[in-house]
Amino acid sequence: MMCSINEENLAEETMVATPKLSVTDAICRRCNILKAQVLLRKTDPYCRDCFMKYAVHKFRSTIGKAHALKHNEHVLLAYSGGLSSGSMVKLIKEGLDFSESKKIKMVFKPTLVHIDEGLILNLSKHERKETTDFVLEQAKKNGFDVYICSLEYCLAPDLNDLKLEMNSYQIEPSIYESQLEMLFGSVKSLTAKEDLLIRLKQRLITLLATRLNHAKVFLGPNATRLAGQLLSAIGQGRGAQIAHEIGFTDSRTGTVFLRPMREFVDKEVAYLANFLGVDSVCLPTLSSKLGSTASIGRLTEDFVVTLQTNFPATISTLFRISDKLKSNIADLNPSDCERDSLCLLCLSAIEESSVCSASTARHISQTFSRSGPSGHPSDDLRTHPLQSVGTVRHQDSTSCSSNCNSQGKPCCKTSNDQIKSDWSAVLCYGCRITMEDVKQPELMPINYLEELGLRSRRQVMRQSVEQFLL
Amino acid sequence: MNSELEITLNFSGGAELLFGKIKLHTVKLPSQETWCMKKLLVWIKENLLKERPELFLQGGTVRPGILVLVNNADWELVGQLDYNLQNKDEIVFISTLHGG
Amino acid sequence: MVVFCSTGCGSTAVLKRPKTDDALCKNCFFWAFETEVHHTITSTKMFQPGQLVAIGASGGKDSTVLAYVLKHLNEKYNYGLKLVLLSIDEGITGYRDDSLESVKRNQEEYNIPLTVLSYKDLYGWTMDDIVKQVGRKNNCTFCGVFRRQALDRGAVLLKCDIIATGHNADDVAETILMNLLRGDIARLQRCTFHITGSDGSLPRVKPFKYAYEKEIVLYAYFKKLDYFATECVYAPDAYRGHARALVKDLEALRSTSIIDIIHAGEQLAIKDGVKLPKQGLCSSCGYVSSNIICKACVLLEGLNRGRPKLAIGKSNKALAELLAERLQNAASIKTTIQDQF
Repeated sequence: MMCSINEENLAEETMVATPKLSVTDAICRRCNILKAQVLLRKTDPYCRDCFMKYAVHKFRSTIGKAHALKHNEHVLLAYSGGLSSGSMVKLIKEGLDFSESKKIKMVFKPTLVHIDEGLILNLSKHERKETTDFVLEQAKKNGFDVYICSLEYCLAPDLNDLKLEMNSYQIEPSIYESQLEMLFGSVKSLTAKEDLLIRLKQRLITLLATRLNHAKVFLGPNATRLAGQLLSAIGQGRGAQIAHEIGFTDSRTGTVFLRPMREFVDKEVAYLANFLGVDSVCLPTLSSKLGSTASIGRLTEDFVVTLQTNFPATISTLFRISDKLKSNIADLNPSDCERDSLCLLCLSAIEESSVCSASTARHISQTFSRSGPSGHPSDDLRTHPLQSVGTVRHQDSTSCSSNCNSQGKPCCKTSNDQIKSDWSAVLCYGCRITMEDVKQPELMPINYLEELGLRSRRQVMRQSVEQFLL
Repeated sequence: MNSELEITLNFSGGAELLFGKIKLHTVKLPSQETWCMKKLLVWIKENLLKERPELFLQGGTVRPGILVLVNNADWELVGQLDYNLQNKDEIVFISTLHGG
Repeated sequence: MVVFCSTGCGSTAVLKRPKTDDALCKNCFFWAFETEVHHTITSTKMFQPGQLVAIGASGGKDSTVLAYVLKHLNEKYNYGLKLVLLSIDEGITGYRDDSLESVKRNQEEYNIPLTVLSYKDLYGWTMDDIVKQVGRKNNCTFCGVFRRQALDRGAVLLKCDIIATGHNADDVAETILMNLLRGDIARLQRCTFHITGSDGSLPRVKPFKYAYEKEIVLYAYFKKLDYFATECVYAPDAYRGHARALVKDLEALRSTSIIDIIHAGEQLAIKDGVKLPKQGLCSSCGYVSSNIICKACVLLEGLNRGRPKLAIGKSNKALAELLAERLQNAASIKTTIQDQF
């Protein structure tokens, strides 16, 4: 292309830049009486009351629209201590209390849950205690029960191994502590670390929800976070998972995750927290104090925030895409065989790759770059000059080409490579990229390793049956 | 000894537009000190770059999308910013950002 | 520090492949690059033997390498294709002079016939004329819309069967991000297709859709291919630049990102029941369009009426106005005729 206009892509300019108009001393655009205190999308002034009415309505309709909750259902609220989940807790608290209008009373039973991630953030015991004390205090203030669990329990094989106490928490050494530190220490890139954290946190919350007998969990990410996460997911090859990772509902693990804050951008959350008197702790993340090119997640979030300041429709356009995309998993209770086609880590369907696709292209590049011209006599490719048909099987890129494993002999590649190829066979494209950066996968939860063994044995069995039938 | 380090710098693919449209530069650097690529980039910015440094450098390295070759090999193969320049080295900067 | 070619051929590596992080020597790189393009072509059944292929040639790196590689593969693997170069001259003073020279050199060096068509030939307007009318803010819209059709119209004139363009993996990744930012779900799905536009207009293919820009540039560099690099003088800004910068930053963070984004794009499936604009044909020129009248005709109508801005904003509104005026004109002609007889 000679210029950066992409010919296929000339749509009407849907991203509209911010119009310039004066909003000093503006009057609320809704009631037209009170002086505005809130400015949304750079152009819409609201007074405090009208903003709160609008926000509360939006929150409730997000939950209501999806018909996700049964009457009086028990729900876990994942509460980090930050502004977004703090506002979520407060909105629910106010909704449960008898508010001015009877018909909009919420009816469900919330319990808070907090994951103490301090260990991998290298926080001191004192700093960790400050945060968890804050969480306990906030729960008490709102009159909700709270369970706090330390992140390292994501490595626990069984939900009964979780150390849980209602409304109290002690930081105690556990057998998983050093394992988790070593696991994260073995991850090559921050991007992979952040992705691994997402997967392991989801596993832990699922364990917690199952243990506490809750089918549903509310998560607190807002529109700004989700828009960044959408681009981050795309940047990590997770196209098929957008519906789950960004949408309102994610039911991959069997526990249903819901995101009721997804309609609020950062700025709205800040106003909400302010008007609701939400107190928060400043939460560090893996990329805190690092530049915007520290990781893919950090880069895309900064990108979204920057673009949003010039194009106020950016965030809502992005996260709404997830509403229009399909999940690639059929139902909640898959059979053994179907479960083998789900990613071990994120439980999404493992993508099938057609003969001409990006994943095949990547695989071919790898093969060609390692074998060279001598490994591929050009005659092979000349047999059918313009028509090559059939599908390509390449679940793993590191296994040996001679297929010696199936002949009962040890593979010619080292066992390390074998482990890698076992892993890649049970992961979706996105998790495969992440695990490529995990140098000590043997530190992953033992259940994963067991399942890994089971699946590869089932695979070998299937292959031998196929050979027998032939 | 007052020897100098002589290297050639070649800007192409549109990168030359930032250097007064001159593609080939032969430069002499004082060789009593070692010159790593990181230092060279700063030197280029201060001594050769004619306009818009942000289109060439970003965050202490070349802007993403500009390829660097050291003696006709990808600089990623020689340590990127940490590569120590040798006498008679040829460094090529190719912009991929200009249309194709 | 000497790095050897990861194929084990014994030669010194000259580049690190962004798609796989492997280091390759010059010859293994040439082979791998060409063979991968060959695979893209054969696995998608992109061409049929005997077809006349128009290569959209701008004189820039992508189309220069495309012309070179297509000619090479066509001979090596007996595709049985006839290749022609097709260039479009937008009529921007100083902009095409050098790049057209570069295309002309391609014609001589690769012995592929060349046709140059100008906007003036096809639309009666040069881009310089258009800029005089609309200013620099929206001219890129005109340029892009007109260029797409120009290539098609030219290819039809030359009786070609198919158009091949030099779009590379970076371009595809950028387009995916672009369509996400626009929330354009229909184009989001279409932009990863192997063959587009086969309905009603000529099919278009992108043999480089999985080839990294970095590798194309290095291929041209090591093969000493002659191409022309410049930025359009009406430097397009807007937010495509943002998408492009994001792609480059992502690539810098993790070089496989570009192919990962394309994979993500290929896996996006639209939920049942989501309404998508139907692709039909323009009732005025017959070119593929999601509206009754295509964007190019709307833009042209605006220009010819001396009201170019009409067509830039919300095109539906502009369309409605246009159609209404046409109907009115038709009606008044009818009345005049009736009055006369």
